[in-house]
Amino acid sequence: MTCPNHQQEPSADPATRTILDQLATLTHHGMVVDAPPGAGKTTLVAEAACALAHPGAPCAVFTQTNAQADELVRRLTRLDPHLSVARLASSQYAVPDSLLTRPRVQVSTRVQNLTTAHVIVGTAMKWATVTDRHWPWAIVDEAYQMRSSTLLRTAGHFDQILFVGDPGQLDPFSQTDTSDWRGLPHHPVTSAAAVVLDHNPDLPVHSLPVSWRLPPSAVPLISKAFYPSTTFRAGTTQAQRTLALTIRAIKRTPLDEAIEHAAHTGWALLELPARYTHRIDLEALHTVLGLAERLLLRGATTTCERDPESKTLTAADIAIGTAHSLQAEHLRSLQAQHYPRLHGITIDTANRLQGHECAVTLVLHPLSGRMDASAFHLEAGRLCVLTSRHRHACIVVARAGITDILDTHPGDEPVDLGTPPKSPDGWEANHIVLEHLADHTIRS
Amino acid sequence: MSLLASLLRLRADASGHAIRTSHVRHLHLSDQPLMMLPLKRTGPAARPLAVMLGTSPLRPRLLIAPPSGSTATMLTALAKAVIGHVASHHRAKEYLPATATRPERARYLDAPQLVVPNQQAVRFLRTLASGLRLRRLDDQSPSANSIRLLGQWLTHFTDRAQIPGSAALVSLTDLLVMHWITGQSPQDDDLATLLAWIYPPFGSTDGRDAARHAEAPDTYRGAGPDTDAAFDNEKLTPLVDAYARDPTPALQELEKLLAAYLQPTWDRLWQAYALLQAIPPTASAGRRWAAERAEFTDHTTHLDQDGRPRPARDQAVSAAISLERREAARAAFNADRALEDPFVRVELRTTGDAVGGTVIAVDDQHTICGPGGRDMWRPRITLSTQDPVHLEPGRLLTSHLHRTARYQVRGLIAGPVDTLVELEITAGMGTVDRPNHTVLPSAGAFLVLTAAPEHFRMPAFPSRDQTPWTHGGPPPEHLGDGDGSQEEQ
Repeated sequence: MTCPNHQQEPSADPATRTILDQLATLTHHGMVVDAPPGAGKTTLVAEAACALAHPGAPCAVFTQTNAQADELVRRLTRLDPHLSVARLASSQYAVPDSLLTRPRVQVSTRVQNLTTAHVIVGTAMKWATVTDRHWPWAIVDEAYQMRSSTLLRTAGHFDQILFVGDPGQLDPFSQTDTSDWRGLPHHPVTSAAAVVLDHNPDLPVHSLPVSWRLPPSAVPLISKAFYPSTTFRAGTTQAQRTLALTIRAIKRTPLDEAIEHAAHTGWALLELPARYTHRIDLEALHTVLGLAERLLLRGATTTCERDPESKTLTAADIAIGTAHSLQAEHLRSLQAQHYPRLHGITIDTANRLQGHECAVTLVLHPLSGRMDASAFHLEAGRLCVLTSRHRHACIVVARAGITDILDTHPGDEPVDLGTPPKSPDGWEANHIVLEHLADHTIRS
Repeated sequence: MSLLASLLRLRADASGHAIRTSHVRHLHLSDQPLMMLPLKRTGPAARPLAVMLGTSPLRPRLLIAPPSGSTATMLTALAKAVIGHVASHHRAKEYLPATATRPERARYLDAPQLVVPNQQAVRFLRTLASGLRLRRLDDQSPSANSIRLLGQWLTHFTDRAQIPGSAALVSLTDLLVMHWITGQSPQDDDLATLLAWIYPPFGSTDGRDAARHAEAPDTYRGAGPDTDAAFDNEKLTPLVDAYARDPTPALQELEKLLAAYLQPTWDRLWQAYALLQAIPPTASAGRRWAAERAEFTDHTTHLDQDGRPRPARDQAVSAAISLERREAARAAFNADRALEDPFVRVELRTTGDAVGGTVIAVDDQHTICGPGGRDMWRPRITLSTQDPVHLEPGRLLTSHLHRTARYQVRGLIAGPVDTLVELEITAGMGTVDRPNHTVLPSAGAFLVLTAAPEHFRMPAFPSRDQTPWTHGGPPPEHLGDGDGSQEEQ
């Protein structure tokens, strides 16, 4: 008996439909689904969880963060109001009241208390504490961000596992030295999806071909720079996604030029004069916050397929992305002190923006103001996350001279036997993005 | 490198004197360490050239490998020295009673300690060890066995060196830079120049002057294990050629040359050791050394009962366990250092990972609703600080004055000058009737809070033969005869 999902409409997306059909009769140990940014990954996870859930044999869903788990629980209850959903949470974590009060949602810190649930959602770290259980199905969300060592703890509890994730985003990392395991297929800090594919080459791999988030202006670049092997297309048309500025500027500053250009083309690079700076480049930070404020002051409005009526852009629709947490912290405190209008804006590092979606993204370029590039700052996943969160436009702020940093960067990373070359290469991806932004550059 | 460390480096450079940072030592140092000064041949990854070693500064032993041919004689002598040092610690044991999680066990009263000049020497020993422990036992001669056992012990020491806070194998350069900041760029950390900065010899005006003398090309000696090119070309190559013609006199010449080459570094090693040993150790250094003794006991037991060498490559389960141990050790070591070392706390405050501030408000009536519906006492305090705080709500902090206390960050309010940090005390505050006032401060008190060590234990990983399909299923059995088998112990 499947869960009471008979009232549900079949999924609109044909790719998702195919995957769900195949899941029902899958004879392999599992399946991997690669999804580019905004391709309906969470929808697929929710629908698959619903389809695989059986009373008495619940479907386990692994997320990587508590926020993702909470969001998925909300999505599941919306998808099927009759579904009994459980949220397995750590005792350290305060589950939001909106979940605690929802009907047919159970919250517990112990899996033993969740006997009647159809679907149990928890973070991978919480699931790692569950022992002595055996269930038929598990779904791993963001499988390219989960460590293989975390999967090792729990994979044995399930007969079959569906892995869903975005291969272009940031890989898991460790602050300790992991050089001992370079080249091993079961490197403990490699991603869960990578370790599974390496050991089970016959596993079916699907990819979702349409990005519903990225506007048509962004898809060709993101697809070329970060997803060279699995191209995808936009699910919307240029006419459906508009960003307009309703208030004219009396005196046009470079900030205005940048937002006008971005409103028009979906991209802008606001280039500050070349300078070597510490991680905290106050001028660049103020420029980023100034851009956000200008967007609101100029009365930016958006239309899209969800809201065909024009909608005024608010601070909550904007996200600012940085490479370092120190920069994000500094931006947040500057915002609180000097930019009260931006209350509610999202400011975070690339690592924490994974999975986030917003109307407009403002990016402080990871290489801005640096003397040299490093593996951390060149990582393709970092730039991919920063430039693929938006539904309308992305504005990058950077010091001039990044092309020179890239050109003079000595490619002296050691090559290890057994380690496949990283695809896409960070250096190359950075160059492709810069080349594209060259046509959208406004100098300050 | 933190901004504070950069600033101190600039100051050291401007003044010409090294600056003392940490006044406590975080690693245990033995009274009788086995000092080892290895040199390798330029070219091959793990061919030793010479090792100077000993437990006393006055009587170093120099072991030389011939320039060509078998190194077995030298390795046998090295094995005898290292295994002899290890065996001298296989004497008295203490017996620890059973606890809730562990059965009764025995532990040696002391463990051997190896001391080398730098990280490069640690890496060289690791490469050497992995070659030796997996050597094929073609000839069953006693020397082949002892060389393999040397490989197993060196593997033990170099594996422990991967664990932050372990003192089984100490790199002196790394330990020196934990206590002094010099005007030298961190990339040039080198025993000779560091020691010149820290402890300038008589006759030099200051540390910078002494370092300049130490770097003079004609007298400079690198601390190995690599020899410099000029030494290779001018001194070593003629002797290698001479060895090919007539081995015996050339070998004597080589011994004389290397003894003279190594002697200054040997003296510096002991000088650095004496400097470091004079620094008072922390309480947690003693605790970690007790854990080291347990590791030493376990490895001895493993060699006696099983004896198979650690495989060349880790399996999925052993790799995951090893990563988890390293990460846990790193977190615990960082937390201990913050609790015991005022300089570490200051540095953490400058990077925003710790906070120091004045208590401006105390709400000692605050309670929350516990899981059973009972009210739980959770007093709250507010700190006012000018530190650049980067702590997320939910983070647990502790105080070096009261280590069982836990302060949970509830929120941050950034002001124009000061930041207000709201904290909830979740442990160590006593009861409502008898509050512990070191933990529950009064308004006006100054508190420094650092990240609390985590004691949460994850359940064990699956056993090797339970390796799931995602990681390739259970690996084949480990034979341990060194013929390329890659299983874990």
